[in-house]
Amino acid sequence: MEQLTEDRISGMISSALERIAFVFAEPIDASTEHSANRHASITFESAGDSGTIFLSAEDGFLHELAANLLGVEMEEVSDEESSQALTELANIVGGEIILALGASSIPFQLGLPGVIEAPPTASPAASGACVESEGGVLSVSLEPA
Amino acid sequence: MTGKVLIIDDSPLLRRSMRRALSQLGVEEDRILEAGNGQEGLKALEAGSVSLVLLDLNMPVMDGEEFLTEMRAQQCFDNVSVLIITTESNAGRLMKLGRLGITGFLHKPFEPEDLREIAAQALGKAS
Repeated sequence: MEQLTEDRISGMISSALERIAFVFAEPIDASTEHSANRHASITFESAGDSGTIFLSAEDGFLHELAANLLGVEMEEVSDEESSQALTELANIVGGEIILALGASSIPFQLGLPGVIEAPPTASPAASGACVESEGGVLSVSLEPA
Repeated sequence: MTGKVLIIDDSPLLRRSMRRALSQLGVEEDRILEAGNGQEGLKALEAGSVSLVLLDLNMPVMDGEEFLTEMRAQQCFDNVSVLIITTESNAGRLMKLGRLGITGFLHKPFEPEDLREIAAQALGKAS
């Protein structure tokens, strides 16, 4: 599978966040310590490539995302809405990643996103990126099957 | 604009976000319906008066393609416009969906203004 660079992944994420919810997020070092405690995953599969995309986000980030999507104040966002923001973001990030892997010409199947307890420890083959918005940190990793 | 708008997406948050965009376009609250999958969408459609469907593809229970196939099998829905709102980017799959009769595509992630613009065009055609 083509190895997507950290820069490319963070660029995709930042662009997607800005488009869908006017959340402005800048890339940060992927090794930066953060308190992201909300996690989601989504699988992808094609004839040649398959894997799982893991998202980990801080509560503040998800509150900001959900608030912007709904047009409400961050304080008004519920826990459930934060979870929904995370799974929808997993869906969107999944779509962007498979597009980068060639989905416009190669059929890919994207799974349904879901909340998970915690992502597995990243393998040496994994790639990923971290971004930070005003609300907090989002980390994305791509684990080939 | 007449008729109802049906949003079919498994994300409650995104349905509310799209509802908000439609309200900003001037579509009255009571003209906006929601469904969490294709099966619920068919039931909402059968209740009548839908002019436009905003349809996600990747959903549990019944996905968007199945919904669209079922819908187009019934002639009574021939005049219902369908906008696909999706992360799908495969040209072949989108062409196949196009042959089922759709008004347009909006690729996620989209700006709210993009949704308002494409929905306004579709509603203008439907009214």
